[in-house]
Amino acid sequence: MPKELSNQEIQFKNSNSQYKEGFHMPDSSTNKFKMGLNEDVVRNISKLKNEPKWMLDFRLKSYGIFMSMKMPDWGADLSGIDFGKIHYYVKPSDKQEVSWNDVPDDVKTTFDRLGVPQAEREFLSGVKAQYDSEVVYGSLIKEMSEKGVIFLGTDEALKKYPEYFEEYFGKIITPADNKFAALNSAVWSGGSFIYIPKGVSITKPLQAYFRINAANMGQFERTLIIADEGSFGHYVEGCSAPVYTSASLHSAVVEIAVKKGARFRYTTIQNWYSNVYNLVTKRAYAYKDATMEWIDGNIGSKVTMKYPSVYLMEEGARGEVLSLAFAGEGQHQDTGAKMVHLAPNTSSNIISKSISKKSGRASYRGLVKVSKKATNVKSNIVCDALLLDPESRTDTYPFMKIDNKHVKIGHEASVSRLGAEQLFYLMSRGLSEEVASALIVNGFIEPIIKELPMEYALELNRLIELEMEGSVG
Amino acid sequence: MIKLEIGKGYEKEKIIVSKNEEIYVVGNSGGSLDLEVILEKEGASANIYGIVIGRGNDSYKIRTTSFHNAPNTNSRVHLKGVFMDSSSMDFFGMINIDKVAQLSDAYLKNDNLMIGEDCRVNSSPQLEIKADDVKASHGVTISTIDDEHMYYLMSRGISFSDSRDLLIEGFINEIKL
Repeated sequence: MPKELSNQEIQFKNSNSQYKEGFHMPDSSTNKFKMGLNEDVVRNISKLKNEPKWMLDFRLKSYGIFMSMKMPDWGADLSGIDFGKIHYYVKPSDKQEVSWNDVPDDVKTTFDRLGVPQAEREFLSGVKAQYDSEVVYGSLIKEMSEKGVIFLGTDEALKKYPEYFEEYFGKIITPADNKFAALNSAVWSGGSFIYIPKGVSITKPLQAYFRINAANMGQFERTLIIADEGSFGHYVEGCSAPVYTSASLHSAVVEIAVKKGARFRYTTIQNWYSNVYNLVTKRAYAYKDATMEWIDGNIGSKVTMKYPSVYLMEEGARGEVLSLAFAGEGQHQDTGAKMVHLAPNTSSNIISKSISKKSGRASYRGLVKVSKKATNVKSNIVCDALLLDPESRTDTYPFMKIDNKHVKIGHEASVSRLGAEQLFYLMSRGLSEEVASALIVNGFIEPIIKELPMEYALELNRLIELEMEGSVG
Repeated sequence: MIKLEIGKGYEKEKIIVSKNEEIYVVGNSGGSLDLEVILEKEGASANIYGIVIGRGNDSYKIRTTSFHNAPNTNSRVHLKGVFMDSSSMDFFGMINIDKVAQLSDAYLKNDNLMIGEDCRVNSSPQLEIKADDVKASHGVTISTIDDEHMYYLMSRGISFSDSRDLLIEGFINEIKL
């Protein structure tokens, strides 16, 4: 059962009663590192996981890079992060289970309340559930494992399939890429590893659910996905955290290789509580005729900085990002996309929709780069921002760097508020202002929602409706 | 009307607009310009038109910022560039709408025609919007001459270079100087 909440927490909870994921379970972790980061923490994580020496060396090198790099001087305000006040490793249980019945009760209750086991039964090919630093549960339906699909926690995969790690791990996103990629590379724990063999299609999505339970927690999952030639896969991740007054940090690194003719889709529905700094680096390499699609929904968190990117490495590759951000009171969603065209005949498409409410601020930040040898490139970028009230703010910061003349690049962005005429039309037909507003917002985000599997579309619509409650009048 | 010729001593210009103003920017041999247009009085409006042409190794560094500091202000920026040989441009175009500038309307457009084999364009249109009852948008296009347009003209007996010149002229003429 949930432990008793302090007064402060109860007050906090009541003022945020819409956030149904805001509960937490007592901290029954079996191994929780002291707050703060130093070389010993990095060594201890590696030792605890019994890692090969090259991984320890990789972690130590990354730690050095992290210490030497400055905080980013652009984007969102990160001054609230105190690297000394974070638990870098919290182990919820001693091993990963293959049956929900074996998962410790408090952890199981958490995922039950989040609806993860039910979703697994109904419409998923496989599930990973990560609780604080470790994956506590994993499954994959038989027909997929028979076809050679691998879906494991990253730690377990490192032991079983080191060959994939040598080829890709830390190569698509190097530790020196940015300060938070370096931090993740030093203290990473958990995450998913997926390998889809040549020609195999995963019809139902694979899902990972990332849950922070402990307070002052840093979650640093590391995901590596390889979609081999001609394969198809769809991976969905969900995230949430309890209501605490102190800040938590979520800093993931996701590396994806989409090989010749393959297609991979990565969907995120991020609903962190509004105390979480969400600073994530996501990048995919798309090879010949491959397609990579990111669908990135950011609803929660205090600050999100995330720009899923596709490097179009070989001819015919295609990249797509659909990005949706909702910045509620006190939130800053600094999100966008990057498309780096390194080969001829490549194409990309970015659609970004953002909504700002109260003091929320949504910023689109993006890059389209066309290198000298990437000829016949097409890229199209559309950013729409919706402002719900006079306190809200929106920004657009796209960058286009074009070094080849045989291109077709189009970028457009627009900002608007809920149209008085649209509202009038709906209200004259008997809808309340609140319902009418919600309807307009739903229409605004429709192009992204319609790309989601039904269950997630419903969930995202529900989240947006909750956010919209009390936003007018 | 204000005319600014890039590379002729106009590197940094700050223009405060209280009624309405038309600003023309012309560039013919590279150079840099940092233009700030400040709409200070309610109802003020500014139209900024620019044409820059790059040849050889010409390089441009152009920055425009439209500050909407009063309600009901209007700004239009339209910059067109033609880049031959190995010419290049870095463009940064900001629209900044302050909290008090409700009912403002801002638009920025940057069209680029890439002709030279080694030409290069960096374009960064930006929006910072702090008021909600406004219209703000921007657009960028970067492309080379359309093969089908060339084909149409050449199939009517016009030479390659005349066809190309006609299309470039048409692209530029959209802005009336």
